Amino acid sequence: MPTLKYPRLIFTLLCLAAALDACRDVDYVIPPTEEDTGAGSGGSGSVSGFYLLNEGNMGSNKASLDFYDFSTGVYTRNIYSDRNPTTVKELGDVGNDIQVYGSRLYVVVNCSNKVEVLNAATGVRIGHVDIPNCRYVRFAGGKAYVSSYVGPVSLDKGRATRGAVYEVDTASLAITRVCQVGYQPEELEIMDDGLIYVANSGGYMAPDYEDEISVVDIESMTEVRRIKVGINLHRVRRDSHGRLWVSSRGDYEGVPSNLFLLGRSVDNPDIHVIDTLDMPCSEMAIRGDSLFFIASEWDNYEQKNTVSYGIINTRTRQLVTSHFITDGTEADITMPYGLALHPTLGDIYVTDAKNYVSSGSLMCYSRDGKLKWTVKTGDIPAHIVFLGVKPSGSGGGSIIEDDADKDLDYDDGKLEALYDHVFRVPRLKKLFLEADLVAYSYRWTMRTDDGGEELLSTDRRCLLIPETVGDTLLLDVRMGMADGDFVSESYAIVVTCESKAYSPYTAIGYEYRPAPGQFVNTMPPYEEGDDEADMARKAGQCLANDEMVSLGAYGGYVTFGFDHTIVNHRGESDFHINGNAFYSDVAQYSSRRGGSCEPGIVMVSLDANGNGVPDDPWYELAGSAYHYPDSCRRDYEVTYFRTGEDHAAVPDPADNSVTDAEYIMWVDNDGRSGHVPKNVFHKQDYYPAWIAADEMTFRGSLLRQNAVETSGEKRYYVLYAYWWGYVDNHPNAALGLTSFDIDWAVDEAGRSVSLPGVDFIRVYTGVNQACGWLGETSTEVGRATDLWL
Amino acid sequence: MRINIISHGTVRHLLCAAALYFIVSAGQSAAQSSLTDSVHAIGEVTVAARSFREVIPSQKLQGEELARLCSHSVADALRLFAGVQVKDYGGVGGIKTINIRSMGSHHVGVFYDGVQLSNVQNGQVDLGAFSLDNIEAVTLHNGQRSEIFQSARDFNTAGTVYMWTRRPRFANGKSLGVSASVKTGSFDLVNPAASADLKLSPRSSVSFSAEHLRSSGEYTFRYRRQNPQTGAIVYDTTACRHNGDITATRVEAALFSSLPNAELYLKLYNYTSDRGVPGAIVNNVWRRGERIGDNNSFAQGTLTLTPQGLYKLKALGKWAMYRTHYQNNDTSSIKVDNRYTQREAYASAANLFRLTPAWDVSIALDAAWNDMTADLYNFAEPTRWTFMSAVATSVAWRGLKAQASLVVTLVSDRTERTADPPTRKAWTPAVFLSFRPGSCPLAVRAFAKKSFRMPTFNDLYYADMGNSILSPEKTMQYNAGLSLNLSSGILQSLVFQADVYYNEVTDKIVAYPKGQQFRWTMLNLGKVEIRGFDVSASASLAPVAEASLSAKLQYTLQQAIDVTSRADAYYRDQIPYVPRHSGSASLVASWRGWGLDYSFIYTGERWSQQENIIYNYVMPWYTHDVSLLRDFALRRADASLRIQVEVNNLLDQDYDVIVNYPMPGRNARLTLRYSM
Repeated sequence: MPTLKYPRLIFTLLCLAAALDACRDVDYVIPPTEEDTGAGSGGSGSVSGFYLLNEGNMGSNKASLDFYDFSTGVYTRNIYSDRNPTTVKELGDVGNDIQVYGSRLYVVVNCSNKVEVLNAATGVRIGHVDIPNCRYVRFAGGKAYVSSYVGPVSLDKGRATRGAVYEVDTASLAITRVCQVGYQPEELEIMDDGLIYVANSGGYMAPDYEDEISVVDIESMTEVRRIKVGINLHRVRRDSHGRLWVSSRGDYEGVPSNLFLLGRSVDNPDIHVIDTLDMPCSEMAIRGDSLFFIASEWDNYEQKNTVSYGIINTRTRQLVTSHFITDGTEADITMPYGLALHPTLGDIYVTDAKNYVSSGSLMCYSRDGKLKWTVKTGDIPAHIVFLGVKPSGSGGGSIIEDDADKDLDYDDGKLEALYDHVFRVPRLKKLFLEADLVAYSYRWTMRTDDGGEELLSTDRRCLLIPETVGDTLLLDVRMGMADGDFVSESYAIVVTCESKAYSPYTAIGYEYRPAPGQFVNTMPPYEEGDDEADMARKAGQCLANDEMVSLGAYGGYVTFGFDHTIVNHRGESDFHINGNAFYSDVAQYSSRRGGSCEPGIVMVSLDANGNGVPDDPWYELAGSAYHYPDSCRRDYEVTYFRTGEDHAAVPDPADNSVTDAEYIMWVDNDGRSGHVPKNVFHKQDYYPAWIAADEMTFRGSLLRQNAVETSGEKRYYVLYAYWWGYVDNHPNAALGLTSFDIDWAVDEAGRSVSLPGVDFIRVYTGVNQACGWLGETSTEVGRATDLWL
Repeated sequence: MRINIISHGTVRHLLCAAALYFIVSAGQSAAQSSLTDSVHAIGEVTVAARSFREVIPSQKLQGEELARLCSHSVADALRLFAGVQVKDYGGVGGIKTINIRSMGSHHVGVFYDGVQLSNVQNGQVDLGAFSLDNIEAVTLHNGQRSEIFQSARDFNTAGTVYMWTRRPRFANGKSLGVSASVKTGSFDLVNPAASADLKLSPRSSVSFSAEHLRSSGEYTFRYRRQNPQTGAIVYDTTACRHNGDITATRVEAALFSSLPNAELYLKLYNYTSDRGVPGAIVNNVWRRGERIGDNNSFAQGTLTLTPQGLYKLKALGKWAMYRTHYQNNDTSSIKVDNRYTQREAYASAANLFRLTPAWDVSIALDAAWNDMTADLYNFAEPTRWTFMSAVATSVAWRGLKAQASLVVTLVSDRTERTADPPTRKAWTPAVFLSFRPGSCPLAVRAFAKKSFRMPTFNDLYYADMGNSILSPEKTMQYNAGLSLNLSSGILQSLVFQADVYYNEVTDKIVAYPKGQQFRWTMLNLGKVEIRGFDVSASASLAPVAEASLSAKLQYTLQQAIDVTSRADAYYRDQIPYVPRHSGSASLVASWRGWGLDYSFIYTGERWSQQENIIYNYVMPWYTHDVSLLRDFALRRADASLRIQVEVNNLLDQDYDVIVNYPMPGRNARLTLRYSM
C-alpha cells in the first residue's frame, strides 16, 4: 500500500518537529548582573547608595534600574526584574525620572504611561499610577506632582492637547487633582511659596515652541501665571538661594540652547528672569553654590559633537570652568547624558549613553575631576537618585538589606520615630538647641559624612546656622550626669527654604549715633521731633537704598543688619560694605592709594540671646592696622561737648573756609583735646540734634591720622587708605579691599574669636582728624551685601 | 529605521524598529519577460534554453509549489530561502522586509515583472503588501540575476528578488480564462480575489486581476517568564493584538502582445490600503493608534525587439506614484497626520549584441527621476535624477560560463531647503564564473561583486536628522559554491547546493547621536563583516502513478559581526537579528486530487541590539505549517474547484521575530478556488 507511506513519513516528521519544539524554553526572568568598582567604603556614610535609571530606547521596553552600594562598591544592573519578577513586561518603556520621597522610590516610565512606586530600600513594587505620557515628578506635602504631556481635553480645538500636572496622593497612589499647563511640560520644581514652576517645551508643536514657565498654585491647583523665559524649556532646578535655573533646548537651528536664572528682586517679589547666561545646557546638577552642567552641540562642519563640562558659580553667575573633568578622561565619553553630584562627598557622576542603543557607562569622578571608577550600565543611563541618610547603628551592608520599616522617611514623620528631636528650620536662621536635662557636662556633636563627628559645643546650649536647603543635620548631645552616667539625645534638623526670599542687602538699621560732624543732621536729615529710633530707622533706609550715612568725627557709628544671619564662611570674605572713598586724580597720590579715604572700623555681633536687639557682645574685625600699636591705639575714648549758645566763633586766619576752628570741643583719654571745626559749606548744627545729652563719649580703636597736607597752604589734603579691613577706605570697585571676613573678629583683649555668623554690624569712624576746609574726617557708609546669598 | 517623526528633542526615535510606520510605501512595478527569456509555466519547470543562463542558480519558488506552501504574501515565500532573514512585525498587515546575507534590506532590489520597485524615501520595500494571488514565481538571486540582457538597475544591487506575475494561458481553443477565490480564517480574514484572461487575437491577450483583503488583524499572544532556578512560571499573560486591522484592494491589468520580432507587455497597477500599525508591546501599553494609508499606482511597460540577426533591444518604461498617509491617533502621544507623495519616472534601454554564438555583450542605459513631497514643516522636497549605464558580457565555452558587468551610477539631488549636494557617483563591478566539466553532476561557481546603496531621502534630508553629505553605503561580496545534481530513476531530481561567502559592508549609514538629547544624524560610520555558509538540498520523486513528492531543506550558518570600532562594546558581536543558525524544510505531497504540504522554519538565537549580552538575547523560534487540499474536477469541462485548509504555527509557539512585536500563535485559513 504505497499510499500509506506518505502519511507515515509526515507523521514521523511531525513527531520530530514536536520533539524539536520542546527545545525552545520559556523566556527567563531578566537576571541582575554585578560589577565591583573596588571603591567600597566598607563602612556606612550618610548616603548608602544610589539608584540609576536607564531609559532604554523607545519601543524597546528596556527601562531598567541599577543600584550602587557605597559600602560594598558593587554596582548591580537590572535589579527591577529580580525584585519584581511577576511584573508583566518588566519596568517598561523609557524611564524618564526617578526620585525618592519618604521611604519610596518613584520611577516615571514615560512610554509605559505610568509612575512606578517601589520601596526605596528593597526595590520591591508597591504599586503604580497610570499617567499618560508622564515626564517628571516632584513632591510636596505628601503629594507627588507629575508633569505630563497630556492634560484634560483642551478647549481650544484644532490644536494639540495641552499638558498637565497631576497631583497624586502618595499614601493612596490615587490621582487627586489635575491642572492643565502648557504644551508638553517637562521638569517642574516646587518652591516654598506653594507654587509649582513647570517648564513647558511645546516640543510637539515645532516650530511653535512654548517659551513660558507655568506657575501652578498648589492650594487651588490652578495655573496662576506664566513666566516668559525662552523657547523649548526643559529643566528647572532650584539652587540654595531660592532661585531657579532653567534650561531651554532652543529650536536646534537658529536658536541655541540656553540657561536662565529666575529669582525675586526688590522691585519684583514674583519669580522672574533675572539673568540669561547665554550658555547651552543639556543637563545640570547643583550642589552648594556650584551648578555643574553638560552641554553638547553638534558641529556640522566637523561632523562631531562638541561637549563642555562646566561649573557655574550660582552666586556670582560666572563660569568657573568648562572642564570639570580634569584628568583628560572626558575624551572617553561618547555621548554625555546624565549628571549627578554626591550630596555629601561632592563626587561627580557622569553617564555616557553611547549611541543610545547599546549599554552605556557610568563614570565617577572625585570632586576635583579625577576619574575614580567606571561601570557598564543599561541602555541610556540617565537619572540618578541617592538614598538618604541612614540611621546610625544599623551597621554596614546595603540599604537593600535593611528592613523597609526602618529606613528614613522624614517627610512622613518617620524621622521623628528615629530621633529624639526633629526640627525643620529655614536656612540662614539661628537655631538654638538646649538640652532638656541639667547636667554636669554637655557634649554636642554633629555626624559627618565619613561616619565621624564634629564637636559643636560643650554648653547646655548649642547654636547652629543651617545653610544648605535640603540638608538633614544629625546632632547628638551627651550629658554627663551627677552619678557618672551619661544620657544621650539625638536631633535631626531638616533645612528648608525661607518662605519669603532673603535679600542679600542691608535690611534694617538698629542704631545711629554719629559724632559731631559737618553732615550730621543732614545725612540722613533730622526733622523736628525725630528721636533716636527715628534716626536709626532713617539710617537703615538710607543703607538699604545705598544712600550714604555720615558717621561724623571719630567714634560716631551706625548699627545695621540683614533679614537673615550672615554665615561665617571660614577663610572667605562674608560681606561687603559700600563707602564713598576715592583715590586722588593726581597719579602721584593715587598710585599710593591716597585720595579721600576716611576709614571706619567694623564690629560684629551675633544675636546670641536671640532677642533681635544688638545687646550682645561686640567684636571688632581686626583690620590691617589692628596689630600695629603705632598705627592703631586700642581702648581709645573721646568725649564731645555740645557747644553752648553763647559760644563765639573763632575763624581760622590761615583758612578762610573754616568759620569756627573751635566749634565743638573734644577731650580724649590721652589727655589731649581739640575741636571739630565748622566750615563755610555746612552751616547747620554739627551736634546730633536728637541727642538730649550735652556730651557724648565714644570708645574703640583709634587709627593713626592718614591725611597729609601737600600744598603747604592748607589747600590740598591727601587722605591715604589703610591696607585693608576698613569701611570707606578704598573705592567700592575694589571689592576685595572693601569686603570683610568674620574670621577677623577679635575680643577686647585682641584674641581671635570664632563666630558661626553675625546678626549685627557696626561701623564707626576710625580716625580723629580734621583737615581744614575739608572738615573732620568722617566715615560714610552705604549698603552692605551678603556675599553668599 | 523609524525616523524622527517629530522634530523636537524629547520624543525618541526607535532606532532599530525598521522603516515601519511611516512610509513603507512599496513601490511597485511590473514588466518584462518575454516567453523566451524567462522561466516558468505553472506546474512545470522550464529550464532555460540558453546554456549560459544562470551562471549562479537562483533560489526559486513557483507555480503549484508556491501556491501551496505560501498562501499569504511574498515574504512568506522568502522565508524558505537560504541566507535570507525576513523581518516580520507580525499580523496580516504587518510590515515585512527582507535582508539577504545580512547586508541589510537597503541592499535588496525588488523587481515586479522585471522592473524595480523603488522607495527613495527609506529604501525598503514592504513585501508583506504583495499578495501571492497573482504571483507565479518568486526568485532570489545573490549578487545579481545571471542575465546580461537586462536594465542597468538589474545589475546594481547586492541581492535581488523578482516577483513574476501570472501570465495568461489558454487551453486549446479557449479565449477566456476565469478564476475566483476566497480565503477566510483567523484574524477575521476575508480575502476574495478574481482574475480573468481574455485572448484578443492570436498574438495578444489581456489579463485582469483584482483582490480585496479585509482583516481585523486581531490575535492573542502570550508572554511568559520563568524563574531559571525553580522553573516556576512567574508570569503568564495572554493578550489580544489590537490595531492590526487592514483593508486593502489591489487591481491590475496587463496587456501581452507578441508581434513579429517583438514582444510588448504593459501593466497598470493600483494598490490601496488602510491599516493599523500594531506597534510595540511594552509594559502597560497594549494598544496603539498609528495608521497608514497607501495608494500606490504605477504603469509600466516593456518592449523587446528581436530583429533577425545579432542584436536585441529591450526598452522599459515606468511611471509610478506612491502616496502614503501616516497618522498617529494615540491620545497620549504626538498627534501626527502627514501625507507623503513619491513619484518616479523611469526609462531603460538594454542592447544585446551577439558577437559569437558563445559571446554576448550588452549595453544598458537607464534614467530615473524621483521626487517626494510631504506636508511636513520645513520638508526638503527633494528631487533626484539617477543615470546608470551598464556594460556586460558573457561567454560560454565548454563547461565554463562567465559573466562580467560594470555599472556606473550618477545621482544628482536637488532640494528646496538645503544647498544642492554634490553629484554622487558609484561603480558596481561584478564577475561570475561557473564550471561543469563535461556531464559531471558536480558544478562549481564563484562570484565577486561590489555594490552600493544610495542614501535615501530620509538619510539625507529628513528634518534635522538627515545629513546631505552622506556617501553611498558599500558592499563587497565574494562567493564560492558548488552544486551536485544526482537526478536519476525514481528521483526525478535530487540537487545539493552549497556556498560559502564573505561579505563586507563599509560606510554603513547609521544613526548617530547629535548634539542634545535624542537628536540624531546619519553618518557613514558602520562596518560589518559577514561570513556565511548556505547549504540546501531538494528532491522530488514520483514513487507511484498519480503521486508526487518533493522536499526541500536548507540551512544557513552566518557570522555577521560589527567591526566598526574596537572602542565599541559590541566590537565583533553578531549584528542584530541575524541568527547564527537558520534553516527551513518543506514538503509537498500529492496523490490523485489530494495534496498535503508541510513547512518548517527555524531561526536560531539572535540578539535584538548590537551588543551580544544577556539583556539583548532573543530565543530561537520555529514554526510548523501544514495544509491539506483537495482538487475537484467539475462537470463543466475545464473547470475545477480547490478547497485548501491550512494551519500555521501548528504547535502554537509564542514568539517574536522582532522583540516586542508578538507573532500570532496557531492560526488557520480556508481557501476556495474556482477556475475555468
